[in-house]
Amino acid sequence: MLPWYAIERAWGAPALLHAFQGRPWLLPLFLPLIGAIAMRPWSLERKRAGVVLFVGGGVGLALLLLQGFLFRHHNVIDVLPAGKQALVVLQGFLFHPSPSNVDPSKWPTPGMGYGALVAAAGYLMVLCQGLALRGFCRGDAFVVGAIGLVVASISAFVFFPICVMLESAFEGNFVASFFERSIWGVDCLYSSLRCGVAWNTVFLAILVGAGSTLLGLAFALIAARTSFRFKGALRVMSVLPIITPPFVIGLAAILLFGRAGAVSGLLFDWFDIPRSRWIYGLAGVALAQLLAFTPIAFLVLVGVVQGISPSLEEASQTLRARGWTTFRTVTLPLLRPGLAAAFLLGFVESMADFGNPLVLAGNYEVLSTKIFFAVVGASHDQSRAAVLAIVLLVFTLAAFWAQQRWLGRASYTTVTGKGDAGLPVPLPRGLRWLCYGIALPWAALTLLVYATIFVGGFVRSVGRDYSFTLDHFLAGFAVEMGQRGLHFTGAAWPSLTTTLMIATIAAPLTAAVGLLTAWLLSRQNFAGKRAFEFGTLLSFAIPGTVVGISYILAFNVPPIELTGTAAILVICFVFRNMPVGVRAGIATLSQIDKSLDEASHTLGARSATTLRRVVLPLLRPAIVASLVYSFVRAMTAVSAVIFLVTAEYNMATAYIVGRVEAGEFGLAIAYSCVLIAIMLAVIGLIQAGVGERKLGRRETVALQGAA
Amino acid sequence: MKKAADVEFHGVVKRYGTVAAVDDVSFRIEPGTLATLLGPSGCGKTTTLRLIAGLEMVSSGRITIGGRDVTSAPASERDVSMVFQSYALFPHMNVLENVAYGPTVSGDPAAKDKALEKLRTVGLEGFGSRMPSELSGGQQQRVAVARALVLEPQVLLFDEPLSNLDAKLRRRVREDIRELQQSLGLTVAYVTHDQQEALAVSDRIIVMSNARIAQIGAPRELYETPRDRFVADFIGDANLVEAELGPHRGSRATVRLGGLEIELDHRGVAPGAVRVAIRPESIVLKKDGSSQLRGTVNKAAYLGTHMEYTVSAPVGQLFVVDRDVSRPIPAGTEVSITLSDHGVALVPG
Repeated sequence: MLPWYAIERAWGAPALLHAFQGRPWLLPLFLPLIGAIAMRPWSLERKRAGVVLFVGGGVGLALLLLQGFLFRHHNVIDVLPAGKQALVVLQGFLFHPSPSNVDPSKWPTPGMGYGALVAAAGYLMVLCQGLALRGFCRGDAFVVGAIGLVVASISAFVFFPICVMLESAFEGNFVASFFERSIWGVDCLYSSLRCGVAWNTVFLAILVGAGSTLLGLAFALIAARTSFRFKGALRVMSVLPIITPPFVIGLAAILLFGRAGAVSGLLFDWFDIPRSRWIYGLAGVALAQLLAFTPIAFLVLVGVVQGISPSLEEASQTLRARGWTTFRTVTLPLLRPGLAAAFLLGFVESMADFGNPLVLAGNYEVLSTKIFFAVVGASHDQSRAAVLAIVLLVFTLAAFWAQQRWLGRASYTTVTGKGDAGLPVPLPRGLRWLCYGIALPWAALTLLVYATIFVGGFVRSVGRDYSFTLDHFLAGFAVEMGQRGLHFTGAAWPSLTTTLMIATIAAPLTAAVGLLTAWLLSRQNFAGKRAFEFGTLLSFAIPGTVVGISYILAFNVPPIELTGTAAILVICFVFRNMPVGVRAGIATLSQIDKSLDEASHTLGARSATTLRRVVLPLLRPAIVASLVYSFVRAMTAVSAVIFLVTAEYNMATAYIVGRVEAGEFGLAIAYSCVLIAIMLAVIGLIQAGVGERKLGRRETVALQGAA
Repeated sequence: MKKAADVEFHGVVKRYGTVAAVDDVSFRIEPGTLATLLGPSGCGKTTTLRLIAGLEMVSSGRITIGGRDVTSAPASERDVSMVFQSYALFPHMNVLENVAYGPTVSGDPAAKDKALEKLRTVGLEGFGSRMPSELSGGQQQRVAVARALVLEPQVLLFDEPLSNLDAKLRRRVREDIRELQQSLGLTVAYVTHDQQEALAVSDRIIVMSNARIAQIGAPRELYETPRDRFVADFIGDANLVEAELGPHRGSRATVRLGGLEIELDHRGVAPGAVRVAIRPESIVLKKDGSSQLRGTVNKAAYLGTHMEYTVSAPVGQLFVVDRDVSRPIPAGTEVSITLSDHGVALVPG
């Protein structure tokens, strides 16, 4: 407790200073602290001390928020004369200053600074400590503190912007615009007219979700359960699409299959298949999204496949189940949490995807681009964007609900505390060939796309002029020897360094918050757990375009003023990508026997120690997944970022989109190549750094002999 | 070794929603003794154990360990260790790291030496660098015990420690546990659903049924004077027979059982219709006896050490165990039935 007080005192001086310079409303902030200290909680008995700290922390936090919001702008105070009067009375009651002492010119307070952040965190921790002392969460202060922290940050950076956003949705005629024909129309079923944008989006999302899960499963099974010779290559190749900014795949697809594309050209020359525009529409978007999201499904599923205890499959085999039967009745059901997570991920990713539809959708309208154009386009209709966002939210929640229903209540614990020494069963022959049949052509297609991206950077123009050039790279990344050392004269350097910096800060934060949340959700019981889970998922369900707009709306004004800073980019990434860490963590944790945690507790390890020494080492696959994912997403995200970048903090993707708009495809693709190379290097580093999960199972030498 | 502590429950209730898993339970485990929590599955015995460990928190009531109120203390702040049913060995650590975990996390520099010493205690010297999955079930169990012992806890808890072992091993491990407990003077709470196991290892047995305590007592007490039908039936086999209780004479009274008249402790039961528990080995069958109670042997089975009979008699079906295997009574024989003077008790509840 004492360090918090110490920090707050350090901050106290400037705030006190302000308080006596015409901002007396800052003064009450110190009261709860002084009050709590005056009660001497450390000398009280456990429960009473808990009450004191709870009340002290709560009041402090409430006052902090109150002053933050009430003194947000002049007009709030003006609009609420009653509130103003109440405040003046309150102040008069507390300090007896004459109301004229209050200097109205200082009412629009600037955004809260670090001091306020520390104070808020301090009060929050005091509050949580109080709750813990009262016996909440089995009296575990660390757990209560973690819950408090996650709840507070999710409220601040997920719910608060969304509320601001919804506020603007209800400004217009909500009911009329919500049930509009352009959203829900089903004209395409009986006429040549287009269906509503909502149905378009759902259809695409189901297609992509199911497709990516299937492809991901095929790759995961090959990687984990066969003696396939090029597993390494397979892994790298299946990771490639995630490290690509999504619109780049769309771009490559156009270069390959568009009217002037390389493949279209070959087909025309060799088989007389006419060039067409099929790529612009559902087929093209679905193809590009599958290329983009299959690796995510793979990353989720490979962890789950590896986590299945071999003895379960061995048990099935000894019960006379043949390979295929074992797979169908044991392996597949055990994969269900992973499959559901992968499908949900693909479904939601597809709904929220912005880059590919932007490049490829043509006349096939989806919600995310429609939201974007509602704000950015000529109409500039924020409330319409908000209405579309609500539609999107409804769908995502439905997907979540379906997942919960499907998984049911069965137990999927497969990593138990009883060390088991089995060998993973090789795949049945038919299934193996099926997997190869699905995965290998897909891998070939992926290879082709990447070859295009790679080649595209070095030639003048794909499809027309294949002569070699380095111009694109030089334009972006030229380095010259000047008088005072190296000069990074390339146009792309500033955005690249910013991107790297922000991704490096965001990735570990994202993984930490995500896995902490997963651990809280699957290992702790506390009041309001469902609401908590819903909150963490909500940030997942909101497409980047909406997040971008809501952040601008919410954080452009006090109390939290962040637009134009690097912090807003980091925060945006952390809370946008956190759910992947949560999902991966929950999927892995649900396979780790709870008694391992309990054993650690009874051996005197506190929750924090248990988390570090027992849970984290077993969570390694999930750590890798979320670190990789969050880093990569921070490097490749477009949708939210495009609203938040500034000249000072420009991100690589926003820069590339700018190049594409300017028609500089060569530089755009060359830059993408560089990004991909950097991300590959980082992924390698992460995987080497975190290492493989040590389960002490026997090596799979026999498996290779069997296959 | 630290001094063993006692464990006390005062009116402890644990509710999950509206369902009480443990309902107003009070007991005391004396320091240095082994108490068993015995009952059928779902009776609340494991929950009770987890309440001692601090893995569950009471809904109401008080728990003290060694006189200290630990009701709201988390598991890591109680001086209690537990051996889990699944052993819960950390799969990513080797045996030595597993055993040294407790002292390691509390920052003890001698963690490794302590762990080695405990491994020696359980007879697993030299297994330190193995991974848990490379050990047999019995060895894993001993690692789990060593890991629990290494902090020299005031109280050691066992959650069905034998359920994953084969029958032969069970007897040995259960003897090992008892020996360890007695030689180190530990306070042990031990959960099992196997009454034989409970009778074999316990100083005292706490029989639980439907979230409540059915009876607490020494093994002999429970076996010979069960308090109610449930205990009589659950601890060992018992023939529950309707009988007629005569007037009290001091602590004794006459019981009419079919044609038989026997004298028993009345245990406070009022005269009238009563129920009597008769242990199978307390029934004596004779081919040519002159007892007032007669019956017919329905089934006879030879089990090597003893004979088992099912006899139909006017008081009902009787299950009989006879040590005398040299003169078996074939099925279909009419027999006279008498009762020996122990293993017969009135059941009050």
